[in-house]
Amino acid sequence: MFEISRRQFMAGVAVSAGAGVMKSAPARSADAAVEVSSPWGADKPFQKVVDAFNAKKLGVTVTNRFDGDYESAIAKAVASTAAGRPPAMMITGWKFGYFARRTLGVRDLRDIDPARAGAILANFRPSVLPLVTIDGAVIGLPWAMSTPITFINSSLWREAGLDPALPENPDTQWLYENARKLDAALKGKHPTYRSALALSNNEWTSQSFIQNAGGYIIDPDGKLALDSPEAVIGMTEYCAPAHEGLWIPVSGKEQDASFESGALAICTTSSTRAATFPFGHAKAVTAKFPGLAGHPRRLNSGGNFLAVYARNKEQAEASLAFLEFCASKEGQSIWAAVGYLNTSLHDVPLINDFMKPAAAQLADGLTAETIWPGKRGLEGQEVWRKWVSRMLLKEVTVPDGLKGAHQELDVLISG
Amino acid sequence: MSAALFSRAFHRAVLHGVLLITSLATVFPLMWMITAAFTPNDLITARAIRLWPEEPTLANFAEAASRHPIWTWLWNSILTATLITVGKLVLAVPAGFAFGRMSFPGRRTLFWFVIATMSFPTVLAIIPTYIAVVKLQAFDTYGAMIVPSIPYIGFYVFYMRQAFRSLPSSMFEAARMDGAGLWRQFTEIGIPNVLPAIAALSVISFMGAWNIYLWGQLVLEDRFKKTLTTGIAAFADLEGADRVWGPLMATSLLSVVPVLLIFLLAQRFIVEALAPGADER
Amino acid sequence: MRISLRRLAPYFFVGPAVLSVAVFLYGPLIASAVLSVLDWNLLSSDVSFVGTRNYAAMFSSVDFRLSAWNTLLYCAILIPAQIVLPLLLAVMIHAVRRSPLQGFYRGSLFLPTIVAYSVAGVAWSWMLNPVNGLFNELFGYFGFPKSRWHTDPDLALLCVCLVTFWKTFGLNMLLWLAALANIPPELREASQLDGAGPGRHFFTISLPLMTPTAFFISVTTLFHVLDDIVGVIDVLTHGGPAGRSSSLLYFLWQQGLQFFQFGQASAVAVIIIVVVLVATWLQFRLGENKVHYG
Repeated sequence: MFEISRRQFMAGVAVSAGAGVMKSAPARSADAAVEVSSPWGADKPFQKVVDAFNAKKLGVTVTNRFDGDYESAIAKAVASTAAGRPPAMMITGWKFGYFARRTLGVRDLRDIDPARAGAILANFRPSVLPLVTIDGAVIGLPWAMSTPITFINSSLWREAGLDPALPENPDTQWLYENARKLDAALKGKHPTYRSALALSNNEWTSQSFIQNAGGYIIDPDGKLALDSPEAVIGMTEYCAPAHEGLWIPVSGKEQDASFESGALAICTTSSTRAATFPFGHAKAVTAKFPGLAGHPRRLNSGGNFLAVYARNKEQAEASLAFLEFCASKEGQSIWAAVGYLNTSLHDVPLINDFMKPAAAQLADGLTAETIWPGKRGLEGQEVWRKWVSRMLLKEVTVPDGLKGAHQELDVLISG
Repeated sequence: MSAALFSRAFHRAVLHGVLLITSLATVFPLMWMITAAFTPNDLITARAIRLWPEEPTLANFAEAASRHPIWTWLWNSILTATLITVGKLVLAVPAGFAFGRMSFPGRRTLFWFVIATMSFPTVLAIIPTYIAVVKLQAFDTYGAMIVPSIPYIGFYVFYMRQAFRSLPSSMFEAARMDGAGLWRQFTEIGIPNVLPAIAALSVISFMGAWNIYLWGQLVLEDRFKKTLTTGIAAFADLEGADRVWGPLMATSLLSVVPVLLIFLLAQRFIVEALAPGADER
Repeated sequence: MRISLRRLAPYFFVGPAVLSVAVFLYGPLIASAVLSVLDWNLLSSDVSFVGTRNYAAMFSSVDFRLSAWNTLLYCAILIPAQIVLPLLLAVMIHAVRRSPLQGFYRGSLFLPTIVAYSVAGVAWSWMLNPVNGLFNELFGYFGFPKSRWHTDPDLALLCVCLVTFWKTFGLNMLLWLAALANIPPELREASQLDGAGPGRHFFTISLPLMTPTAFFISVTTLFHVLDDIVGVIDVLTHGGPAGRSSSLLYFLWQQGLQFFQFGQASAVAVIIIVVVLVATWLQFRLGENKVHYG
């Protein structure tokens, strides 16, 4: 009796081991294996890019490893790099460009193979290449770009009796005025409506306001410029709806949850949401991000880059093969489903019409999100966000908040 | 009914009332998890308050399992929590015996040396331990999760010492007369008589290890090596628009049920065993 | 030979425990002290000695001072709450110990203790969401003004306290229950014969008999509170808004493992260690005089 059950057990083990082999079947034993640390799980379009590449059987097998958001992926990369086995490839935010280059030692693609690197980069718009050029090194594929746009809950907008024709270039005057009307019409009278507006306290929106007012967070000479009068104008306008009570600042996750459940009428956030918000409960429509009346629009973008960290030649060259596929028209067409803007020169159709305002902003010209320099640049984003929070909550006045942020950041990024 | 009896009944009714309200209020935040786990995913955000799933389904569990290796996570949780518990007991039970029943030079000092660690927050040691794990190439191994979690035994040594002290000396005298050495006194007299305390500590340790969050987040990288607690964190980390509430809540429920069962089965044990102070002099 | 082996025997029993504690708990404390005078980020090969500069940087940092102050507030609120309220609940449960509902009460009240932080975070941000969370919906229904809860700088710390309390009071409640269950019933009968009411009975008989538990709880609660807050902050507020709910340990966590400033983080660790050791020593000194546990 014991013998039989033991044999059955062993057979079971053999079967499950076999199943394990079957799963990774496309990998031939001679294949180079490349693991990509990414912020997306197996159910996201990036996995489809990986699968399509593996299906080509080019002698390289790529696996996608979901490592959480950029911050946690970076923390893991530090640990595994220190342990002597860095990830072969990693996707991380532009904002971590300096950290990736100076601390993690990301590879210059041209060092791996100049000719192939040149051919890969030739697929992209020249204007995005500076984003991945740090200290003179090309540190990855500038393949993911998003920009903040405005999402409006279409039924709340209609129920408040507002004009469904949205202006092509909205400004804050228009947006705030409509938010006030919406609030007056629906507050306390609508079963799900709770708050009019959220501008997001994230990487990009506050920077957009400062730029729209003609200022910079870090100016083209690389100097911190938060003490400028333009920054004060931009941030005053940015904080106004919060001070007025139209905007209750919450975390990104809570903001998304409120918008999706129909509690929040308008929010400005990453254009990647155009892949989900219009099709959810909120039936969102989209418009461009608001500019400042009387000022030229100078919006920014955020995104991530796919980079090579592998130290050995074989892995690095195998990684280039994957980059070649990602940069190709075929790769870009699959990739577009994530909801990023097309940064390549290929003609890739928009995934839906809700992406149009974002595409138009790209056509207008976008600047980059802040890539915080210096040894302690990692903290820059966190410090800036903290000061924005203080200004939003009226813990400090806008001029004092900008002064405080300027002083604290100056120490961080000059070090 | 006499006045005294009435006042006692009234008293009890008030007590039950207060306890019932407190219990329900305590469980309430988890109500949503329980109902959402059984509600079809696309119906979940439609309502804020739900006391019962509209169309009860088990689909969320299947969906969760297709997105993430949740059964592997469950197994990893069981494995790590068990090994951590065993490790703690192997260290703490003999130490408790020696501190409680033997006299030797340095006993007091060594006892305080171990006991003082009861007040060490785990986060304090996290950076040097993390560096050590990385430098020893142990990053992303079960060992990195388990080994550094074991030595938080101050609590356990303290309790085992109390448990062994509370046994009557005559028991050990008798064994000594029969020529039993220290080891036999420990294994044949000591351990069998403190089993309730060991059981109680096992349950407490298991529950603690099951929920190790920050450290697990830090050292477990491979998605097949994660435990339920750290896996859920990765699951919940996805941005709002992409969150799949149903499967997430189903996985959360999966992480609670085993520990809850153990607790319910063992709670009598725990309550009886966990009282220090019943001292024999 | 036999004699010396006998003499050594106790050390074989306590040796593994003492060694593991020394290596894994005291070792990191010493390592922190060393790291705190260095500038090193784990990856670079250049390690430089910076003396007390990390300490100076910490003491002059507004965020450090704010989180130190917050930590004091957390302790002032949570330590008494974590000791007294579980005792009250335990006394009530103990009073109805013959009721079949007792198991239900115990189980429900203990449930949050075994829930993962990530789940607790999801559950509570659903309750507290200032835009459409359940609390505000209820407040609105009863006509109270709405609150910003954990996103309000003045309330964030209290919200973290609430969630931490909810998440952790179960263990202390269990310890109190155990102590109550072990009070010999004869004592209760004796004091009833003396005509003592339940209140007097509790303060003159039960409580003194539970001093070992009381002492034990007061020592362990300090570090539990410090530790548990970190998990709650990590899932609920991330220390915000603007650092108003951060604690020293969360600050350490951020400095060390988010920004890789190991030197500064270790300086924070050393400061905490000194404070914790002093507090523990005081507790033991005070406790030893009052508690008789042998």
